[in-house]
Amino acid sequence: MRVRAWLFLLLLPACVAPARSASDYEHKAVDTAEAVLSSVQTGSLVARLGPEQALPPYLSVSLSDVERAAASARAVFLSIQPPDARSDEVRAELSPLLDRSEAALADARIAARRQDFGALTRSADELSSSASSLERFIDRFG
Amino acid sequence: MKKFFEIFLGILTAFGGFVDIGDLVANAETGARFGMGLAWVVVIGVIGIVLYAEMSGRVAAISGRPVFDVIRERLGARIALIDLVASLLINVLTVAAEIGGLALVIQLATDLNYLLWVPLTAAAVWIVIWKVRFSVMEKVFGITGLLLVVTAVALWRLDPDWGRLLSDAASVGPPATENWATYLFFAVALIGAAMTPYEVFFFSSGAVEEHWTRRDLMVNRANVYLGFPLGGLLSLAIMAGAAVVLEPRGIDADHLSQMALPVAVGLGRIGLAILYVGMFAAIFSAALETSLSAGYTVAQFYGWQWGKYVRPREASRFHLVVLLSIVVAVGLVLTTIDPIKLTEYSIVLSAAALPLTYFPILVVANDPSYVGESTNSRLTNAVGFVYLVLLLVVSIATIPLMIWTRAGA
Repeated sequence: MRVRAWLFLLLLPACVAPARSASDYEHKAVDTAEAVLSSVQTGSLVARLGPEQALPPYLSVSLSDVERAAASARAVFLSIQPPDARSDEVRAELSPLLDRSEAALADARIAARRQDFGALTRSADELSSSASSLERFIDRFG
Repeated sequence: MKKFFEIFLGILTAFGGFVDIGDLVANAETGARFGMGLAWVVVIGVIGIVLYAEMSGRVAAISGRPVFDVIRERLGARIALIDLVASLLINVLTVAAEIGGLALVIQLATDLNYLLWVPLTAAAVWIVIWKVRFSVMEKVFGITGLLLVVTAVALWRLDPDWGRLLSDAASVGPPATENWATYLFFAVALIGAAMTPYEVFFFSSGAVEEHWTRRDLMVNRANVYLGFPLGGLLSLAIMAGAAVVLEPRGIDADHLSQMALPVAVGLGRIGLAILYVGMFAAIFSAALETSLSAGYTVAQFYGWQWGKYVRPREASRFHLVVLLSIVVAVGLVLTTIDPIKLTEYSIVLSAAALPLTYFPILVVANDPSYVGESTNSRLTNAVGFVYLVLLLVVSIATIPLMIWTRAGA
C-alpha cells in the first residue's frame, strides 16, 4: 500500500489536470504556446545554422526532436475540454497557430533530411513568423 | 617529477570526469530557464562535493578501505543497509541515464534512433569494465572528457555581455516569469547533480583500487581542490551558454540537441564535432563509474572480494552486480522512457537521498581508528555540519517541490 502511495506521488507530476475555469484554461493555453514557441524558436535557429554551421545529422535530429515535442504539446492541449464559450474562443485562436507551427517544423525536418538547404532556409522564415504569432498570443493571454 | 606528473594527470582526470549527463542536463535546463540566476547553487554544490570527496579519499588513503566498507563497520549493518538500498537504486537509475545519454550523443552524430545504440553502448561499458585496467580506463575517458572545454570556448566566441552574466549570477531569487517553488526545485536538481552519491563511493573505492596510502593525501587534495572546481567551471560554462543562446529566445533545454545549440551557434561544425567526442567521453566515464559503484557498494556491504585490482574470477560476485546493474539500466532505457526525463528524476532522487550518503562519511572522517591523527579539522567539521543541515533541508523539500511544480514543468 505504501509503495502504491509513493508511486502515485512520483507519477503525479506527469498527469494533465482538467481545466475547471476559463482562467485555468487560458493558463494551460499559454503554457502550451510557450512550449511550442520553444520548439519553433529552436527550429528557426537550427534551420538558420544550415550545413555551414551544423552537421547534417544534427540538423535532422534537432528538428525531429522539436517537431515531436510541439506535436505532443498540441495533442495534450487539444485533449483538454474547454469549460465555457470564452475558452472556445481561446482554443479557436490557438489551435491554428499550433497547426501552423507543427507544419513549419515538419517542412524544416523534411528539408533537412533531403539536404534541400534552400527549402530549409525558407522554412526558417516561416518558423520565425510562427514564433511571432505565438509570442503575440502569449502577450495577450499571459 | 613522476609524482608531479601523477598529480597533474589526476587533476586533469578529475576536471574532465566531473561533468556527467546529470550536470549537462541540470545546467543547460537551468541556464535556459533562469539564465545565470542559479549559478550560486553550482558553487554550493561544488564546495559540498569537494568537502566530502576529500574526506572519503582521506579515509580510503589512510585506512586502506573504501568508505562504504567502513560505514558498515562503524555504523552497523542496519544503517548501512538503508544507505545501500538508497544509493543502489539511485545508482542504477543513474547508470540508465548515462547509457541513455550515450545513445543520444550517438544519435546526434548519426541520425539513427538512440534505442538502437542502447544495447551497444551498454555492451561497450561492460567490456571496458571487464577488460581495461582501472587507471587506464579512468584517465583515458576522464582526460578525453576535457574536450568539453569547447563549451567555454563557444561561450567566449558568443561574445556575451559578461557584466550582465555576472550580475545575474550574483542575484538570488526567481525572475518575474517564474515562481519560488520552481526556482527552488531547479536549485535542488543542481545540488543533486553536483553531489550525486556515486561520486564519493567511486572516488574512495578508486583510491583503494590505485593503492593510495598516506603519501597520496596530496594527490587526493589536488584532485578534489583543483580538479573538481575546474569541472564546476565547465558546469557554469554550460549554464552560461544556455543563458546566452536559449533563454532570450524562450527555448527550453528539453533535448540534448538543444543543449548543444550554444556550441553550434558559437563554433559551428568543428565545435559540434568536438562537443560530441567530449560529451561521449564524459558520459562514458560516468557510466563506468556508476556501474562500478553499484558493484562496489553491494560487495563492500556483504564483505565480498571486490575491485578491478584483482582478476574478475576472484571478484565474480562484484562483477555480477556490475553486469546486473547494466542489464537493469538497459531494460529501463528500452522502455522508451525519455533519457533526459530519466536523468531529471535520477538527479532529483539523488538530492532526496543526499544525507544518507554524506552523514556517515562525516562520522567516519572523525574517527581516529580509521584516519589516525588526520581527523577533520574544526573548520571542516563546521562546514561539513552546515552542509549536512542544508542537505537535510534539500532532502525533505525535494519530493514536495517535485509534486508542487510538476517536476519543474
